[in-house]
Amino acid sequence: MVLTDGVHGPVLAPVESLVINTVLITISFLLLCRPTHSAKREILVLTSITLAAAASRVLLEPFPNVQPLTVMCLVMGATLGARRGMAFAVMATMISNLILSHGWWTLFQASGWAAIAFAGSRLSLVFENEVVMKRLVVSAIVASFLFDWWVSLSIYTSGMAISEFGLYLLNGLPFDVLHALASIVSAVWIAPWLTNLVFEETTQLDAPVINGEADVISA
Amino acid sequence: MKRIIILASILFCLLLPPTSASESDTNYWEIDLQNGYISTKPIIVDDQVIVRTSGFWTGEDRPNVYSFNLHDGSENWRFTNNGSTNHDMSPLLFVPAGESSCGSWNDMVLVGWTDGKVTALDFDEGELIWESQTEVVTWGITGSMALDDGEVVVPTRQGLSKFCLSNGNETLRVDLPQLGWRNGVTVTSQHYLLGNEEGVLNTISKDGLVTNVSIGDGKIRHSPIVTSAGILIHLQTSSASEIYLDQTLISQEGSSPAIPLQVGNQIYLATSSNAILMTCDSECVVESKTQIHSNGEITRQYIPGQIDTIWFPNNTPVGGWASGIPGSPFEMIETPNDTYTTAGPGFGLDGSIAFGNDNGILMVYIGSYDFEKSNEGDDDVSSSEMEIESLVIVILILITVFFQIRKNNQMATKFGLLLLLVLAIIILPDISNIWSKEVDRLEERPGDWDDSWPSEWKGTQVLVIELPDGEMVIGDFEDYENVEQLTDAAALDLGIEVEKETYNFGDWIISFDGYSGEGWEFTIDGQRSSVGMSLAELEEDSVVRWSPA
Repeated sequence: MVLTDGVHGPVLAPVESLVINTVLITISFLLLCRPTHSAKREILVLTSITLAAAASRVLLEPFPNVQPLTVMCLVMGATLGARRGMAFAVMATMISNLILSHGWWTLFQASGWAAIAFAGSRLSLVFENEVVMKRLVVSAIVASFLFDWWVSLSIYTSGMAISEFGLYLLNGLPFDVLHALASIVSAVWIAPWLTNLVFEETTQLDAPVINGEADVISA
Repeated sequence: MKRIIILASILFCLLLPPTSASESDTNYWEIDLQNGYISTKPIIVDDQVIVRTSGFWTGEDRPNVYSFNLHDGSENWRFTNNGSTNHDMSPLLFVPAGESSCGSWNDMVLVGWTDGKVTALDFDEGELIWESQTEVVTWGITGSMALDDGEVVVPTRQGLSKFCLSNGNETLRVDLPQLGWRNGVTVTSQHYLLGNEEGVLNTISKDGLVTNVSIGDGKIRHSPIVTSAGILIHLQTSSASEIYLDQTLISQEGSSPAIPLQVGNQIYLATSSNAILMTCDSECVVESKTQIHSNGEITRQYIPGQIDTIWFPNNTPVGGWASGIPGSPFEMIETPNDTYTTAGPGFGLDGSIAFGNDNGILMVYIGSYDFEKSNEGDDDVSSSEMEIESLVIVILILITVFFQIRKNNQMATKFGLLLLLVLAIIILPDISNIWSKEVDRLEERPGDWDDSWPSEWKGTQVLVIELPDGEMVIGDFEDYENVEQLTDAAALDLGIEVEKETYNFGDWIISFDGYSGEGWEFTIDGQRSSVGMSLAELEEDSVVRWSPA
């Protein structure tokens, strides 16, 4: 539903854009800087995949609501943990929106994908370096719909009746279905490869990263 | 690690802003005048292309008349009318040098303005030679002027004036009870013919005596056409149009008639539904029609022995111009900037053509430009896109079947899902449109009718714009299919400048009359739309309200 109907929500003034940018960058740094034992190699892997994810959004922009980033967030959360998964989501959103279009909705997109990454870290989507495909597919479908509805809140204004917003969501249903379908395709095509890649590149890292991060987040 | 960095680097290159290189074409130039609409045809005389704009009327911006070099598009001169604050659409009139009983004159361009002025501009330099003032009732001159033996006859807002070409002195003035709009004047050997907004045809003798007849319940918005069978009028009525020969109704046609064109005994007319060919000998007969939505100026391109065809502006979002004779399929000419269009093309004797559209973009094709070849190229792109889509689908089907035969279920599933996604992407626009219409039916629109509005607006399309200094309302519109079309047409009549930006999901209103505020949003019958203005469809009695966000 995002950006398909031409409804953007409020237009941001430069100062407001600056505030959103600052908040999102600060969150990314906080997520990446703690805990302090992060290996340089892991940061490099995360950065590279983030750039690739951002580029994939730009590449697929002509196709309405085809968002492989949803599945990537689930997988990154599942493999690198909540903290890095969320940082990945926020950065990929910001970088890609610099090209696609940046505004109030970036906040909703970044937080939506960050929430998906967090969910990915808690849903046991990866077991012994292998993707649990059925669970991932179901999670991707649910996440796609919830993400779209969450981002649609960016156009909600105080004068809008709940019923109007409901109709707006209903109108976007075909786009939500397409997002879910694209997420299924991403899950079967990208997720095993991405999981394998992340594990191969980070096998030498300290083991407790995932559990440690989850503890920090829940605290 | 290497492969992931290489992959990321390659993909990151995609983030670099794409560059677009336009193909150099020495036979074409265009210029965005950024000065409102072009609603009347440019004229090409010698090596000059002269065009007028309506202006945005904001700040110090005012309508202009421009002259450009035909061959390279460089600006020769421009003339600005600081007093004009309404939509200027009276056709430019080139007058070659000559002399009459009241004096002599050089080549000049006559311009009628909505502030009631008639200005004579020097053809070479654009300097003001003379100007004369006519009456203003909300606005002034909007119809086409005509020459009559060393004088120019001007259809004014509420009458007719005649001026000497050499010095602008008024030689005749006739006041009429009815108001006119875009009501061009026709000169005959003994009379001037002039219609108006109340469907009355005035016949004015050259010494100023007026007789009139009521043609019908409607508006005469063109120069009356004198045929051997009588005077032909294409009357705009509230829901359609009617063609009269003298006072006899001979045909009922579609809405919003265009300005008809006479070529000998053949009359070309158009509406939102069709282009029409009539022949008039002892009687006028509708010969043939071709479907097109044309509401503006019909023009003829004629180069003896080479070209003789009729042009119709296509007043839809698709835009462009059609050429041909009604009864046969038209050749559609597409330009790089197509949008709503009412101005006819201007023609040069060497085959050059100048197009101006509602976005104020002037496009000039020099010499004998091969439109057919150009359009074939566009068709090729469209058909090649379809071929690619079909090819992708066929390949995916074959791969899926291949893996299925090899009993590789995992790969068959992968490719099957990919095929499903491709199909879904292709059909999504249609599915989305159908779904959107179904959803719209779920809720009864609250309605937005105001009882203080004229009762004749009931059942028609009405547009309201809530500007900071008050509400602007106009009604009595019909047949507009979406909010963007109605907004454009209504703003035109209200004299409100609309600034838009185009995105990949459609057009977006930036400001009305220069006021942008925090953005603009619209409702239809009191209900917010879930789609953009170019997709928001209207009923025949819809009330569209624009308000600041």
